[in-house]
Amino acid sequence: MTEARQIDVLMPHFNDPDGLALSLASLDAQTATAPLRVVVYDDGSDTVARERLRAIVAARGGRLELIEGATNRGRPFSRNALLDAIESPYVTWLDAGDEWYPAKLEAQLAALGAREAEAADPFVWVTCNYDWKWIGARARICEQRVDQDQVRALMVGRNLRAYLWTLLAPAEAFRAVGPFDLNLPRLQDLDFFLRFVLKGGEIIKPAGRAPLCVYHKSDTGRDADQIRACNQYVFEKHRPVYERYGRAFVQGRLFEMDLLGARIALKNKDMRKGTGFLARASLRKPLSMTKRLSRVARRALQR
Amino acid sequence: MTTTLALRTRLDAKTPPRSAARPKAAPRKPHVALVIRLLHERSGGAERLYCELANMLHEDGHEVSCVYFDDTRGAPFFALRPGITRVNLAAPARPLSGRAHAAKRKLYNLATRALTFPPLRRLAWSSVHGRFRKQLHSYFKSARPDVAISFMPPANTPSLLAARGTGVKVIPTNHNVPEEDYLSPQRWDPNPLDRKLRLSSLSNAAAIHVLFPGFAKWFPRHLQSKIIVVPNYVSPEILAAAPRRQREKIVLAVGRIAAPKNYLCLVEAWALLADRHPDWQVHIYGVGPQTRLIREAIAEKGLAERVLLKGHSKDLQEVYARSAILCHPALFEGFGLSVAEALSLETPVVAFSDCAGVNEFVSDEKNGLLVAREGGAKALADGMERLITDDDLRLRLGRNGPDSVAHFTQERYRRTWLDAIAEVTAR
Repeated sequence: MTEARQIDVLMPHFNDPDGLALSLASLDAQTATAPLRVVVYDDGSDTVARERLRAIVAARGGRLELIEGATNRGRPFSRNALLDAIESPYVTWLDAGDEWYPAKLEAQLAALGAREAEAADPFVWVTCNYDWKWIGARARICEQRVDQDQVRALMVGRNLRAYLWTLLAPAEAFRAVGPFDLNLPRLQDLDFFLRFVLKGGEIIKPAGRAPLCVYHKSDTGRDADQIRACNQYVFEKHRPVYERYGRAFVQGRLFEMDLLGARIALKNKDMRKGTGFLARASLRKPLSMTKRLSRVARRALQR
Repeated sequence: MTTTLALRTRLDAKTPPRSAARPKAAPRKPHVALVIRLLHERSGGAERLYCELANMLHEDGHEVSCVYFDDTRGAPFFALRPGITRVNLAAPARPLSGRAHAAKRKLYNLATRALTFPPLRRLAWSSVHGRFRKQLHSYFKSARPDVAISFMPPANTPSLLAARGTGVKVIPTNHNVPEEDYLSPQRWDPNPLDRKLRLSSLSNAAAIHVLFPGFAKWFPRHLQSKIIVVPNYVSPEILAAAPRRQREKIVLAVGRIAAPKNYLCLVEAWALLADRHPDWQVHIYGVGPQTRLIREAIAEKGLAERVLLKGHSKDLQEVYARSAILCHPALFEGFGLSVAEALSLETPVVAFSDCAGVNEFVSDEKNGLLVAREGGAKALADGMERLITDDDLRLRLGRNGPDSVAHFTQERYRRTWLDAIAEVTAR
């Protein structure tokens, strides 16, 4: 029954028509037979990108709806516009530039169908394992572990990550969470996932270890300060939930936030900012920092 | 929020472009945080009301957060609607065995009674409530609910103290007779400081909930203007049942088997009647800490086949509908829910006349018999015997039952809470 119901595929887009084409091609290759309604929200792309986008859309005939935003309002605004555009009983997300493997929807629909056979209108999201592929490197499988304290796991972000494009769910399970936080140009997924789980939602996944999609990862051009600020905002917003797990956990999370800022700054060749983040991390957890640095040094020596 | 989305293009040109502007948002309803101390796997009356109020408010469009402090693993016993945020502020802890838990509690009780030096009392208080209070303060600051409704003293006092300086308006709810909740050393935290804080912190309350107008009089004069009265309600599932015309010869008792319910008195009373009415039985529904004690008392009186402990039942409406009499010997009640449920199904009641929370809606010789406490088990037995032997009286009192509790409806409960929340948030 799940297989026959229409799915809205919600795609935010900004200045990346090539990425969108790649994502759409992966969508076309899906083995699932469920009818798909594809909705792209363009967040005020520049004229050239918009022209190319329109050409891509035209080439697909009537099988795609395009919503064009007049100005660039940011990712959370795009996602809210897409939330408002939901019409089908099921919803999935696909960011322009990311790819699904052909079996993704079929496997997720089977998992959702199994849950729906147990109880009507389950408050669940179906995630999946995915490949994590740095530009120019080999992909590695990232397993989403759902059999754990999901709130804690999302805050740690190691083996359950808040990636919207891994998800398929009943439309109501997305609507019930409310809008994306407009104060979060980055990491709005993490806040959205936390709110879902705190509202009693459960993240499930299809059986098996195979990755069902791939994340093309790059730190190039990312703003370390912005990401660190967004991390801090999410932390402040959910502070009592972080603090529930104790002081060491909180310090650990803040430490990791600083290290993430450092990684992005250093990859973008901003040494001053990168060392600043590293210094903050060292002050927060000197022992952990020493261990990390010695591990990095050991690896460098081995090479 | 107004958006300026310019264009929505459907490439199948037959369909006209649809406006991409987001629909006008409805006015935001207040964010209500419901605070309780423990919630995991708890099936008591207060926990049921807590979850039902959360569901009602959420259904009405409010943003609802259930905030609690429970270090056990588990989930709320009563279902919460999807979309209600659950915030457990306690870190998960290794579970203590029942014996270790009881020993810890005993030790704390002994220590707090022995401590007379105020700073030590404060230290003891902080060891039990400090973390909850601190976490709540952090929650109030980050989530900024428009109003917080706290349930029972273990959540009321920390909520009122935690809200200081955050701007969050707190409504503590009282689910028992006020003097029992605020003055009795036997109830809640035995630390005298806790009793003092329970009362003094009420000055911070935006409003104070009580179950009956009569309970309001107990509070100091400066708090009187803050009182709101919201009685509990008889659930629609109970009201959906049809009272039976032919009743079985059962004297029913329903409630937690604990000291305040005074079931030992019922057993003692039945021992006085059992021989005279061999075709009648007493059925006690519920579980609790006195189960073993009551079972021993039943055996000691030789009533094993006449007084039956029936445990939990999911079909209490059927039980009320077929039983002839409800006997409720409780010492005190906040709201005698089982009594109201029995009356709604035309089952007359025998209770003590001084039982607060029951005598608010049971009238002697109208819908039940109220007997004098001083008469003890004998008076209770006399009351039951009158109803056993006088069919007309039993039927007459039973028929008056539904009208006497007709105002305890879920709709009235919902409406009163919505009004109270609207009033408090508008201030």
